Amino acid sequence: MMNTVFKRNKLFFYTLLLVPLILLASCRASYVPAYDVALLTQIENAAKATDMLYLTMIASPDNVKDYQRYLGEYLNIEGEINSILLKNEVRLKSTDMVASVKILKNYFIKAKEDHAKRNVLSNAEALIYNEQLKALWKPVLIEEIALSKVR
Amino acid sequence: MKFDIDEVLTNMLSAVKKSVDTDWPFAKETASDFFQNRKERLELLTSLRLSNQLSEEFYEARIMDEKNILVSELHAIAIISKVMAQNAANAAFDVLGKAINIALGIVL
Repeated sequence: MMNTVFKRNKLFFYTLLLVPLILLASCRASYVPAYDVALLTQIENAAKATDMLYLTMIASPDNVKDYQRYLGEYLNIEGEINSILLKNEVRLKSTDMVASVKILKNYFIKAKEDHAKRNVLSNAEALIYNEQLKALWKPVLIEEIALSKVR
Repeated sequence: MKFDIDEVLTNMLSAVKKSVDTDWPFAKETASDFFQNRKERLELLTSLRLSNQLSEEFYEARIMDEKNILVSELHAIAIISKVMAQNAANAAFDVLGKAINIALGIVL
């Protein structure tokens, strides 16, 4: 009886099985934002500028380590971080990137304010700020590189 | 119309495994790199504190900052994991799609 029903409605049963499968197979999973090569370049440049800021500070004699001398560079880098944050905030599925850039931004502002408050940083302090900022730029950079590995 | 669901599932699983195997080294190297860098930073921080080049207050504040660095690194690992999951899921669905197309006699 069942066999007869199946044979009569073969096309119907196959359609019933295949339509959901076709719909499922045509789906593309998407858990991360699209790779942005321009944003990767911007991150690399801002990370390099941060490194240069502290390397210059460390290489300078003590009498030219005052905050005002570096204010312009601090503001340039902060502007770049804000721009990277904004670009990530308007991307879909970018919660992790936004979180990493916010951590970086908060740390950078704290380091800048510490320099402003004390006017001069020692070489050891500048070295540690540079190392920790490098460590905070790295996840931001790796997140963007990871997106380039989407197939 | 030939559609062997067991064969398709086996091929989907194989595609997932191949995809994860391809992506795994990047995840492993990144985690290892984060760990190694942390070790070097902590050694540097401690040596500068022991040689009195950093104040106790500055040292403790930077140790606290290491927690935030770890959080940021975990976000990066999360993104890598999501990319791995996305690649694996899409590889599996590609196999399914091809099997359906063959069964239906569709040539793309």
